[in-house]
Amino acid sequence: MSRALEVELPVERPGPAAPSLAERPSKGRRGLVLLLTRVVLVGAILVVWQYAAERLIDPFWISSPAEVWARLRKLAVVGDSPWEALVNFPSTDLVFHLRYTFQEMILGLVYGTLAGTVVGFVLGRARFLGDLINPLIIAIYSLPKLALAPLFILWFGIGIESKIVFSATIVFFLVFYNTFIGAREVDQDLVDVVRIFGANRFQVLSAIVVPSALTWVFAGVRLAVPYSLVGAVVAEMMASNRGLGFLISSAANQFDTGGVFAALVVLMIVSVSINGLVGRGESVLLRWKVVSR
Amino acid sequence: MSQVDRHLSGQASLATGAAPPARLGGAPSAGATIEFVGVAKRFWKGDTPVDAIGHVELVVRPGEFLGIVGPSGCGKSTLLNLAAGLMLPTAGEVRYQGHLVRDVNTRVGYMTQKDSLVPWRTVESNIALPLEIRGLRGRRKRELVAHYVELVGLKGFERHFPSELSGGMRKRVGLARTLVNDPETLLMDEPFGALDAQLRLLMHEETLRIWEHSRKTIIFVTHDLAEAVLLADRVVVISARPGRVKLIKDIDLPRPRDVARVRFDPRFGRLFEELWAALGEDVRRGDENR
Repeated sequence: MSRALEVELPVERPGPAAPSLAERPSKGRRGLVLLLTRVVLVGAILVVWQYAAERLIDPFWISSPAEVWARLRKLAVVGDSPWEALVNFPSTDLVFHLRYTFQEMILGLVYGTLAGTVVGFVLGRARFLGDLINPLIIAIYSLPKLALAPLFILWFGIGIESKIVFSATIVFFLVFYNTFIGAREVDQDLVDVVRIFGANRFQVLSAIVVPSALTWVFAGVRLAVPYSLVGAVVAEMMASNRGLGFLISSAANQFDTGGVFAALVVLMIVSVSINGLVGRGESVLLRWKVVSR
Repeated sequence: MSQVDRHLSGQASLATGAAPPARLGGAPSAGATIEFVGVAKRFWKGDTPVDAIGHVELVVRPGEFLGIVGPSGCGKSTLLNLAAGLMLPTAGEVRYQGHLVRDVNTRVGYMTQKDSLVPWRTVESNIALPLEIRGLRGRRKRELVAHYVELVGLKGFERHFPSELSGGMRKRVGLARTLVNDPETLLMDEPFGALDAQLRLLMHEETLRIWEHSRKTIIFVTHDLAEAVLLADRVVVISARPGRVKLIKDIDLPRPRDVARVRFDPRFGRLFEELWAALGEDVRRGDENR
């Protein structure tokens, strides 16, 4: 049909999907070396820690890897032999606490995201309203959220509600702010383009404004996911009788350093897994944002 | 295939209904596609007025290929924005097929200087955008998109996102997206500026072929005088800011033109020189003003 087809175009074709270009060279040998070095490093830290706990510093303050391991085992499994441990992992106790924290986190995330998206979009599109309320929102936004926790406990009790509200508040502001900006900073050129194609108001919204704002919503949610966990755990530490935050604070209250470390290890594993999942989801959803070089 | 051809020649167009859209008002006057009648446009940069267009009188004839050249910042793009109804003139009026342009002019296709692709849509989904707005779905949509993907030589890149393409490829997606909508009139603002010389030649050829095939009216803004002479029926020289029509020159080079050879026609050289003389003064003056 066209002559343009017969000519091999002098363009570099980027690879499929092309997620993080920076990571690619580290695959293979270099990656293996990195991994091994990391393992050795962590091992060395553990050895030094163990040595220090036995010879230099009172384990009351720093516990020791062996003790933390024992506490972890006690927390995560029931039984003494490795076989029993394997069968009984994770223990109902651990599941109980984890589930509680997850529940707060996920509900906080859902409510916070919903509210943040709706309010952000409305205020972003309704310019006058947005300008009117913006300073107020900034004022609350700049308040350390932790300071709100006692108020929420007062209002919503020491049950799960206050934790959900606290987590949702943190999420709300992150998502709200992103959505607000996203709904305001819609590329006018894109709007003009579809208007010339004959788009009506609704089509301009659905084809350009909403998707454009949604990419900002995603960015906000991406940011908010780890914070929703922070919110849940912090609220638990203030007043609760279950959850990961409770495990940390109750161990600390009993001067059980090993128990604190064990709960921290669990928390670390949880947050690393969550962040990994979010990163995966992001690279799928926001593939178009990857800039090829 | 036949469906696509009919679409190309502009007969099966959905965008161009028989009745003029309600948003174009005023009494029709025949014989002109676009008229700029005493048009002036002033912008405000804070408190200082910037007169982009001083006073422009210009009639764009139906089916012609009009080239517009001028020094940078002379309001060439503003003229296109006015024709597209994206902005209104400060003084005078812009008419499209005799009707006053008061709102966005959906009868034109506008390729802006920026490629303005929708970043979260793939190549094919960007090209499909105007069809989706018209409510076209299913096989017919896919056929048209595939046809235009091929036309601009982007086969194999359908599922790439704009961020994964080179500047030249993005321009071609923009061209395909404009053409798929089959507008009566094409407004092109330096559409091939970012392309390398080879690709430009191909795109010139393609543009002329499409124009000869469909007899659309094309207004082509460029800073490249040779490109304007090469393609256009008439070339308009706009003066430095505030822009005025300085010279309108008929380009009497024979059609169909061979874009690779027409440069060596002695008439091409004469036309180029005459236009350059008019343009050159202003380019230098525009430079001093800065």
